[in-house]
Amino acid sequence: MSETGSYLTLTEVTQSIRLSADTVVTIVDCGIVDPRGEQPNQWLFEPQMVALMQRACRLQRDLELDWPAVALAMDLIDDLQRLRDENQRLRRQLAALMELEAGG
Amino acid sequence: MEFKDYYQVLGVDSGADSKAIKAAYRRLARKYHPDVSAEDNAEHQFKEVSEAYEVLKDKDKRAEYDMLRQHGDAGTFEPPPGWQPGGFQSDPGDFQGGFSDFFEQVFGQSGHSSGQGYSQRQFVHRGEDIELVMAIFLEDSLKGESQTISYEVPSFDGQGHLVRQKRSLKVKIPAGVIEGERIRLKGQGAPGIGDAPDGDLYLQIKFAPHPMYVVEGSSLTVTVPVAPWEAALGCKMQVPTLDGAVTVTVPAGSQNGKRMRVKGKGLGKGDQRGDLYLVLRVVMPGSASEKEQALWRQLSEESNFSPRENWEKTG
Repeated sequence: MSETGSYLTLTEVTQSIRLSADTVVTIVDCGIVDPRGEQPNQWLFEPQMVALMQRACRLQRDLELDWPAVALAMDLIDDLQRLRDENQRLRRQLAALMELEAGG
Repeated sequence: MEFKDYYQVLGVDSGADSKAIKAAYRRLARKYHPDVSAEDNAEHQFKEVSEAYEVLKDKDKRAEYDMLRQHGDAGTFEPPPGWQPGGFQSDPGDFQGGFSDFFEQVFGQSGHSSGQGYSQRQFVHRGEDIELVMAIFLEDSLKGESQTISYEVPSFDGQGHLVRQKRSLKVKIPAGVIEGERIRLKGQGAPGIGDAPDGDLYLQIKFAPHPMYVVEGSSLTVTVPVAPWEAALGCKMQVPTLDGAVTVTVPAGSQNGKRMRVKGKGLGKGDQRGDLYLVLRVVMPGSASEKEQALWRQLSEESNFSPRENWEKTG
């Protein structure tokens, strides 16, 4: 059985995704992730946030964006995903209703 | 090996200036970036595009490539005899697989990037994190079951060759997980090189589609078929939930589409546990016997209900 670590410190994050602490601070400043804790040395990141920061870095590098634009893109991607999920959910609900209609 | 026409990949002609190349790359990168694109082969397309840009944006690499391109016919490609791969610094990004064999042949494997801290070949560096999607059944999300997963980690053998090592691991899924949650397993990613620590393994929870329940966060919704008289007169019925059937009372005069909440029978754990929603769906019987028809008729004569009252008002 394996150990489940729930939160990562700033140091762990910089090692894990090989980013400088400055970059992580910038990412947090832009509101892309919101770790627990006040000061950078007290920050605690959820595992989910690591994936978000990785995505942010890929977008920043590959699309040659500045950080505020990355933050905007992330928000829009998030909205898009939420709408896709909702759409899928409603389609499934609709399918359940139609099925009853057809079968009834 | 196939010769790659980087100009064609970016959709520019071979005389394109650096501005045109950059613009073409940016347009295609936005289109195919795996974090943005919904297209099936986005990741592959994006790799092709970024490989092409990696070469064409750099004056020296481009000159070298142009020279080769004059030799290369569109079909297969062999580097000219005596070709020495240049010691270029390049950044294959952090998508799995890196650049193509063609790229490696021409520009060499050595000195892949240290740009932006994505260094690939250092003597000491922490093992890579690995991310897997773990599909689980809704039923299993509640119990905190253990599941054995198999995956591969990149590691280096004694001669320094990159090999893929099979691993399997028994993982306890925390009770009450919901879709999209990430579970971090410390030190279960790729082994570190030198004294550096091992990477982590991340498991992203995904629910297998359930034939009955529609999931939204920690809420579940199920459509409940009811007979017209059940909706009219009310009834008690058994409704299946993830932890067994519960008895629910449908009030008399329930409308089609009525939502009822069964508290705490959704997903999640403890006081975070979501609710189960029942949506009533009034279903007509398929065929009616003579006696049933007579009863409907009797009802229709007796009732002064007018379902299209609003039409009459507006019309």
